[in-house]
Amino acid sequence: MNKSVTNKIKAKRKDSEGRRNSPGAQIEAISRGSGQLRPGKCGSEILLPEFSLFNRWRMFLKGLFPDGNRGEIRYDYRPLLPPITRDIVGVNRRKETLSNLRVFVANLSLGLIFLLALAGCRHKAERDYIEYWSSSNVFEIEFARKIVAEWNSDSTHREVRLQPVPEGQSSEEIVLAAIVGKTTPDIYSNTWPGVIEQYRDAGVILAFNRFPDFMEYLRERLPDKLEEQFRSSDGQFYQFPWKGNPVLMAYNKALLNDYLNSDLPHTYRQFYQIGEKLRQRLKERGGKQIWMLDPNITPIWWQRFFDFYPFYVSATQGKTFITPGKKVLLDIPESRRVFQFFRQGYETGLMPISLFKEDIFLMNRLVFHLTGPWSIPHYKKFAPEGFEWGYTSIPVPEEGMLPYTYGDAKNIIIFSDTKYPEDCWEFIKFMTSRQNDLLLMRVTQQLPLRKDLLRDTLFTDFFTEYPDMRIFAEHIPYIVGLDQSLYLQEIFDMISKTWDEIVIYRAKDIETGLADLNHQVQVQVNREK
Amino acid sequence: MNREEKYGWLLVSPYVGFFLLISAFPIIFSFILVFMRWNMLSPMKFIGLQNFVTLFQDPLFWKALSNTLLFLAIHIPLQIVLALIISALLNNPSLFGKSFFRGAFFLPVVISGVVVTILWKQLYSTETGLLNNLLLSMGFGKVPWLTSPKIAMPAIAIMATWKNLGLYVVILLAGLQNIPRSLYEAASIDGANKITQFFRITLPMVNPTLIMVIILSTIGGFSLFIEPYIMTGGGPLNSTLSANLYIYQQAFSFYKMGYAATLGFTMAGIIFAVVALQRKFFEREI
Repeated sequence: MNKSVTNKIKAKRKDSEGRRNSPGAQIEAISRGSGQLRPGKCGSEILLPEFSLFNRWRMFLKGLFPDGNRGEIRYDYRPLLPPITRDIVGVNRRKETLSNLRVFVANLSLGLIFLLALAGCRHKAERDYIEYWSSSNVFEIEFARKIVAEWNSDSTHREVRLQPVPEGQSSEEIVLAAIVGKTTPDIYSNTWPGVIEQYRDAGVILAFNRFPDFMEYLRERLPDKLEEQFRSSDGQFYQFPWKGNPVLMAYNKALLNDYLNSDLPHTYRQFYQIGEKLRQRLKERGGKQIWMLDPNITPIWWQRFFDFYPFYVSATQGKTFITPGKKVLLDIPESRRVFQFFRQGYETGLMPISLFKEDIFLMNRLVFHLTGPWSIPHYKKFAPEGFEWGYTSIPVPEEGMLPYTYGDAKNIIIFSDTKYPEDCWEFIKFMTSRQNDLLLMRVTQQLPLRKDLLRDTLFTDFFTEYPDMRIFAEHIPYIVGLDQSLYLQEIFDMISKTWDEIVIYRAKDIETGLADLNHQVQVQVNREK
Repeated sequence: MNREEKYGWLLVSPYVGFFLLISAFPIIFSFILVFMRWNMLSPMKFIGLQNFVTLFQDPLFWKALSNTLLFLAIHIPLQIVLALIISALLNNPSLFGKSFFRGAFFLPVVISGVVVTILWKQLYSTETGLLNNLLLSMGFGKVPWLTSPKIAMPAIAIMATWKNLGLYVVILLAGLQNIPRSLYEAASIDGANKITQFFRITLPMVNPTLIMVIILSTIGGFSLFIEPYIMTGGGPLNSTLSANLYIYQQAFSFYKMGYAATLGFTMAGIIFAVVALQRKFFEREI
């Protein structure tokens, strides 16, 4: 045998000796039931599988069905690894080839899937139709399908294709991702007004004022008082006001009328008079705890739209807390009264400091609940037999004040990179016509922002059929929107944290807390000047 | 490059491409963001080290970090001690139903964290939770598990311990089973009782596994997010605001991508330092 062959054999022998003693080989030996695992520093010689969900399930199943009766736990130390690590694992060459092939196929599949996903994205410039994103709410999808089908039935119209907004933690995040990825639709109809300023500042949405008949159409449809709420800081309209959900108070008829023998409260004083009665009744009769109201105590910034903000705009009779001159009005008497109203509720135990998974309103443990028209189908579906409820305006500080509230509006926008802005506008006018507003109410039980809802005979039958919706429609002229600010989420986050401190946990007094809050918010607002 | 190396590179090329796009690019991009102000809508603006200045002056970040350290201070010792005890019990060769217990302890690990958190949120509810109902039936008062600033984070630590315990039981069990029985036999002959054997044989021999468990727990603990996000939103009074939740809020609620990237890198540095300290002080050569 010549020297080179001998050397090769020696090298291979050395190599396989090294492999026998390698950690991977030891692991193999253990898995075959022989050999000992040599403990090393920090377990560095033990190659553990990645603790992905998949591998945890594998370990779990292997733990249930161990090999033989040895009682040893056997791990498969060869998860999907790149071939570079084959020396550590120490498999033999045949197994190594198979393993590499599996890895190669898996990696290739990943690459192909990725390329296919990329290929699926079509650039807007190639589209000859209008892409319309609706809300992912099942009723709104049904409404959108109907109007799109009717629009497309007319061949003179440019085709509209419907796509419910993709699922995510919030639709605003999804739209933001679409803006960044330049995959926005032409029209989106579930826009929260709080993001309009950001979109306007980034130049991603069209001003409706470019359409000659826009202002006339808007004024014909929208209640007069609401027009200025939707105007942006540059004087133009970047959102078309579509629908609103006035926040009111639902009440349990049995608890209020029978148990407490009380009428509906209109003022803060009347509310707490009923509250005092409730405390007395519970003391006399015992039984499970019942509360007056249950604002959500989690300090998430948007929760304040359903407790603090409706009460604030009601107390200020329709004013928001940032003036046109960018002055912040959070440390004012009206604001202090709102904070005091809720603080008193927690102090007296009439509002619970607790998180609930179940609906305690339907469990007859709550007299009032702050909600919107979305609660009507929910209560109809889940209310126990015999449960009766109604709706009333949220209380005001003094008698005789008007029933302003937060509107929770959702509006329509057109993205600025659309190829067909005029067609988009025509579709929006079609979507918000009287007939389609009636369809919206029937299918989704949400209210269009229309001035003559209760006077228009087209809607009379609807309100006869759904009397609960009437009170919400009565409040449409009194809804208040949001300030046009670039930092609205941060501002409400500050309000939420202050709410936590002053109202729920009473770690600060109202005057100091509101003074600090006003200062913090003013600093944020000043960044916009 | 010989034929074998070329073949190797060809085989790994899809993974390398995937890695570069999905892992390396986001890390490099995040590093660039550290020096930028960017809200995803407007163009990026270079601001130098301003994000670090903001970080050092941000009281909420330090509060979030201290909350996370408090969580770790409760969660890690509790987890290690319980995992050791349970794995020591499961290591008994004559224990009946070992496979069942192993599976039962491991089951919470494989269930989605979101599902577990929602269930525990109900358990912990002050007014209608099962735990408080049980306490009331035993004559005790209600405990504000998630609504007291002092108790909320320990409550979350207990829940997280329950969720992840099984994983570390299984890992420690593997470590225990590799300790030679001859050592225990020799110790018994020499008169050592069970407790002495545990402290003089078991603990030193299982030290490498224990270190790994501590490191994994630490890294897992620093990434505390799901529990405060779903259960408390960071309240009450920011007592459960974890570092990860704060980073998430900065990035995805307020669109401060540059500041969030700065926070992320800072946290990565802190985790690295903590793990290095743990290895230095707890690791032992056998």
